[in-house]
Amino acid sequence: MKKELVEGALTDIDDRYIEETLTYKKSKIINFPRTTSKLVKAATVTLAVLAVGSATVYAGAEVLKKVFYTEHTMSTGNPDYVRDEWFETEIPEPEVEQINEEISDGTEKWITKSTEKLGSYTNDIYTYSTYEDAAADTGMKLWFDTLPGEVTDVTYTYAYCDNDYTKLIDVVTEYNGSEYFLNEEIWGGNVADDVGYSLQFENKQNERVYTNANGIVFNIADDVVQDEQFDENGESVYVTKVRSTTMILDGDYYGSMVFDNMSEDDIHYILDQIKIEN
Amino acid sequence: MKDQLIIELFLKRCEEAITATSEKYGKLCKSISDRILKNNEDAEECVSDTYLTLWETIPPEEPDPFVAYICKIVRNLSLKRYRHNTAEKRNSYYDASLDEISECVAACGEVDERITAQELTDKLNKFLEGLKEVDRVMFVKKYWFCMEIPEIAEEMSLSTNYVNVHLHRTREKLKQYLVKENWYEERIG
Repeated sequence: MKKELVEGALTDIDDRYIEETLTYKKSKIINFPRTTSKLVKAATVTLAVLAVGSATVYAGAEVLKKVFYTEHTMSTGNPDYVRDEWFETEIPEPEVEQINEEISDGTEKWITKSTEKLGSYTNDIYTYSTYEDAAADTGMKLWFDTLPGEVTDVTYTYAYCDNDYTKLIDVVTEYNGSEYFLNEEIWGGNVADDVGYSLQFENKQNERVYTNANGIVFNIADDVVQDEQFDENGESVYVTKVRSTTMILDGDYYGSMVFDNMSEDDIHYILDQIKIEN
Repeated sequence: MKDQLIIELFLKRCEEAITATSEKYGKLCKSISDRILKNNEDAEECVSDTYLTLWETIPPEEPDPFVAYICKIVRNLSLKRYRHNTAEKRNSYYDASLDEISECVAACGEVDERITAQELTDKLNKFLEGLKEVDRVMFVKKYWFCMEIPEIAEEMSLSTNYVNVHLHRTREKLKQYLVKENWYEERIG
């Protein structure tokens, strides 16, 4: 391919794209995906207070895989370890020390890799083009053959400290004008047999059950939240959102899906695509 | 001064047109040229040549949008100078960026010699139209304005990581788009 040909073609792209670029307002980018950093904290701070869909892991003495609710959580594991008041406690933001960042030379499946220190944990964070690439590259389970909609962010985090580690994949996808988030994780090292997993809610309501096309039962609950966005002047504004959340349990794997302002039909359609070998 | 007024000054052959253009777009022109040439003196000469070209082409041209017209002129002049300056050795950020897009096009297979730049431009325009605005702007900043990743990230209030990832995805989409369009085979057939 002659570079001159490409150069000539690029040079003459439509005027409107040049004009658009020159007049583009950065405030139009109002919904920068927020899941990754917060979920990384979940892996490193035992009782991090997080948005709905974020997870808390703790230990006990009995293995239970049944999903149950408390006032502020959807949980699984030993119920003795769920304390709603924990989620009402503000946890200070841990300090993050950026170690390095690199871009793939094209021979790797990942696109970027960065390392950061967060307390006693080290987080290796990788970004990928697709969920399938992330799962294949990291050996994690593939819950979807294809995620419905357009994937906008895929992050894999390997968080470790001594012998303990967490592997997690976070995916942000746009579907029918709304966003949904997938979190998939597995823990290793000194993990108790009755490890628990909780999803936090601010104003939990409308608890329901849906059985998907593959016979998998999902507990779903809504949360009404004030989501921070930015107006055209870059000022912070809060928008009320209904955030539907479900938990995914698959052997040693735990996960969640969060659907922002999404219709029940769309949620069901997306959940129908999940395949889990129970 | 509004662009339409500046153009009217050019049409009336009034030299104030150059001053007005310089005041409004001189900095932009210089930044475009600087990014390609990485040489202050050469860039300033290209900007001056841009004003001369405007003077010589308006009329008969009455460009709209004016800003895109100016940008294209200064970019072309800068590329021409760049090619002249680096005839023997090309190894720059600009060439590296161009290589990234050339690779996307080459991923479709062998390209027939008869393919014209205009045909590829048409495909690029169609591809860009289908992108989200944020991705399109990022693409144009990188591959048309030759902006470096940290600069794009700062201007768009994004992380460098975010910009890298999204540009990578856009290039992958471009490859898939050109393969799907089968554009070079259509042209040959």
